[in-house]
Amino acid sequence: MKIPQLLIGFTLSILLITGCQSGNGSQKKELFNESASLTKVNGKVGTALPLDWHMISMVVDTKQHETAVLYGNDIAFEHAKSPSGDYPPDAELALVTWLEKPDIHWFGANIAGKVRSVENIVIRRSKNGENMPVYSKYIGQELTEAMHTDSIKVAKSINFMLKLRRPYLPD
Amino acid sequence: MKTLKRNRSKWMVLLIILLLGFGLLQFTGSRVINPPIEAAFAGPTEVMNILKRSCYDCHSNETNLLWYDRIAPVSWLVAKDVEAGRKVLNFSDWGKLNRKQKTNSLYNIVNFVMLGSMPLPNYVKMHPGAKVSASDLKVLKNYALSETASLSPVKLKGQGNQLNDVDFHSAAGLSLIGDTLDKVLANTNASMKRLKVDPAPNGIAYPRGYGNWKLVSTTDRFDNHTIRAIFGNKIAVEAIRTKQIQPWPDGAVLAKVLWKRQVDSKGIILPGAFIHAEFMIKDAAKYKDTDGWGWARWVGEDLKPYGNSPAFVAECTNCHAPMKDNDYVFTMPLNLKTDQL
Repeated sequence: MKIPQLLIGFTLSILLITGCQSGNGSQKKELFNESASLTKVNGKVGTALPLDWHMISMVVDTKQHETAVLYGNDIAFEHAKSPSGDYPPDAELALVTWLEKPDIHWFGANIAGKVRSVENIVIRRSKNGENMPVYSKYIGQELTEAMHTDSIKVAKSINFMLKLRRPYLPD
Repeated sequence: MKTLKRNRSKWMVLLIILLLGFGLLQFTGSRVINPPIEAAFAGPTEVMNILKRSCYDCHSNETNLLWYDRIAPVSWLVAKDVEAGRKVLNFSDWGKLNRKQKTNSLYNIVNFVMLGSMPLPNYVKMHPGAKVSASDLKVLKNYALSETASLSPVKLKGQGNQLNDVDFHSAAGLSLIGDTLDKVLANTNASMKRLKVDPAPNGIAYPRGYGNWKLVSTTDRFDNHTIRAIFGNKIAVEAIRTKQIQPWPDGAVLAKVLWKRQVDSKGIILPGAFIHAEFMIKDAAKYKDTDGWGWARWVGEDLKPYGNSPAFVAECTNCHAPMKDNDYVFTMPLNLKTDQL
């Protein structure tokens, strides 16, 4: 090989090795948690999409491998921020429950997977002036309305949702 | 003919100068020295083999350089990487870490490998034997899990087909709610006091009112026993709705709140003690030196700013570096559609 070519080859080799930056090898990752999103159902059921509301609290059930968020509309949220007494009329709560799934962006974390159910409570004023929670439940990703055959279970669900308080959040 | 000979002489001289220069280079720059091993990592043989092969050269006092690692100027890069690697994690000082630090380090190791950040890709190019295979990663994951009181989900048979009613509303969860209700109410009242909050060391002021923002995601971090809620301001939420988060627009702010996992005997977890709130504030120009984001954290109920100096941000950017292709954001937002139920 001629000397100029030898020199060029040598220089290029040095540049190739020293030019390597200690960059990271980040790979393309997922952007949205699509499986946890709610789908449209046929017909209106009289309540806005709870994901549009405010978070009141969250729960994880490690035995059932579920995670849930209690959302509230503006009226419910204002009450939840400084709770005193019962939720007022027109307060709406929604407990969205998902099956957990591993977070692909962090081993050691579980996040919301497929939708398990959405339970709604709307506080109505009864004829005798009492606040009455009106409960409904929707099952699965397609949010099929559930028939309530177990009144004890329904009562427990209502109690749970009404009692779940907002955690300390210094904002 | 004479011209040719003259040219050849010039090239020879140049070559000799370069070779001499190259030779002198070998006596300059930092060298890698292996300090004593004071508190070595000890784990299962399978785990040790992977770590020694793929990590120890930069992350221990047992650096084993190959011949080409010792040639300047490559040796300068090697020394720099080893010094930086030992500062972040040193397996030879593992025993000096407490239990929590060890567990956190294990998960950091697994995640940086899983996300492709470690071993450094350029290191692997020059040291192919250091590559961590999928089965190696599985070994490391299983080891991390075994060192944690893990509560990660297992696949249930027929998952997704069963339409059983949700169970945690039963007395199991209610007992916990009953016990903590008073405490939570007291804390809620405390939160109403407007604390005076100092800005972060990098000048970022505490973003007031983030608790009113929309929820973007939640996480159960069983690796470090925290649960988290991530909120987005209006600009962030609009970016999610319109799927414009690559990159996030200027003005988007993400707030992550951490609470301790409060677990009852039936495995129901509620948010316990507040740990800290941390923020990512997007401004590509203003924060161009920190990946386009302003980073800040406030710790504890008295909201003490995190970090002794603006340099604390390096912790944030180093951890988020593997998510460069997602504009440095780990969170996968819920798709905030506005369809009616």
